[in-house]
Amino acid sequence: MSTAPSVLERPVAETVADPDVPWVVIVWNDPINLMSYVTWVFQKLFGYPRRKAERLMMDVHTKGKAAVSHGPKERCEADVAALHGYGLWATMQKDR
Amino acid sequence: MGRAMSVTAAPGGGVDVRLPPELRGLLVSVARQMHEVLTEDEYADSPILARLFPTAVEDDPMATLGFEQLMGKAIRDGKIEAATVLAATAGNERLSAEETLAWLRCLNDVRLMLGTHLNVSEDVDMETYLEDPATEHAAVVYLALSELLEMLVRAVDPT
Repeated sequence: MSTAPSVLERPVAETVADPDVPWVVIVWNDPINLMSYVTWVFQKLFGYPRRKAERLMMDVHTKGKAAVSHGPKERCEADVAALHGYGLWATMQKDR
Repeated sequence: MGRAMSVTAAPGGGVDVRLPPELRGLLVSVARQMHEVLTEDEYADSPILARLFPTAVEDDPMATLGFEQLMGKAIRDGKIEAATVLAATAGNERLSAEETLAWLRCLNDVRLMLGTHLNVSEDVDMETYLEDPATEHAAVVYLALSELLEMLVRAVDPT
């Protein structure tokens, strides 16, 4: 691994929302998970404010699914794994 | 089973839990059952495991396989750990933040296990399961754990 001082030259936009990011994480409705629990998981995992977490939970509940995060494949794999760890029914797909 | 139950936030991100002894006993038994489902081969084809470990990538078996190879063990180990912690701390009056997290996760997994077993759907009222002797016990446990999980979520609510 190089110790060359390239840090300053690295693009800083990695975490900025990119309209071209290729993957999206979807949470699907299921009849078992509690609404309060799902809202809490969204806050806990993604750091979403209460209002956003509730809106996503209601989308899952009423529309059957909601896109909860997006980004590079590796990031989405980590999110799906974390959501499965909390028992939510999550999938990922290419963001078409 | 609803009497004398309370869950309140404790310093350091944990909670204080007041529960009737029979519910604590039930927690040990469901946590052990969860542990068994996660670790014993006989459950390999169970719909419960299919629900606990859903297909990760839509319409892409290769990517799903890759996901399972990459993440499957960590997800499973996390669930086993949560069940182990719940069984070990079911008698505790105070839970640390980590133990609280394990209770939340494992209680939800157990609800998924029971709900899948009961075939819970939004079209069927819980009363239906309570009135049927074949499903009454699982339904009573499911409802008791739902109540406890709801109380835990309220106690740890970050807002």
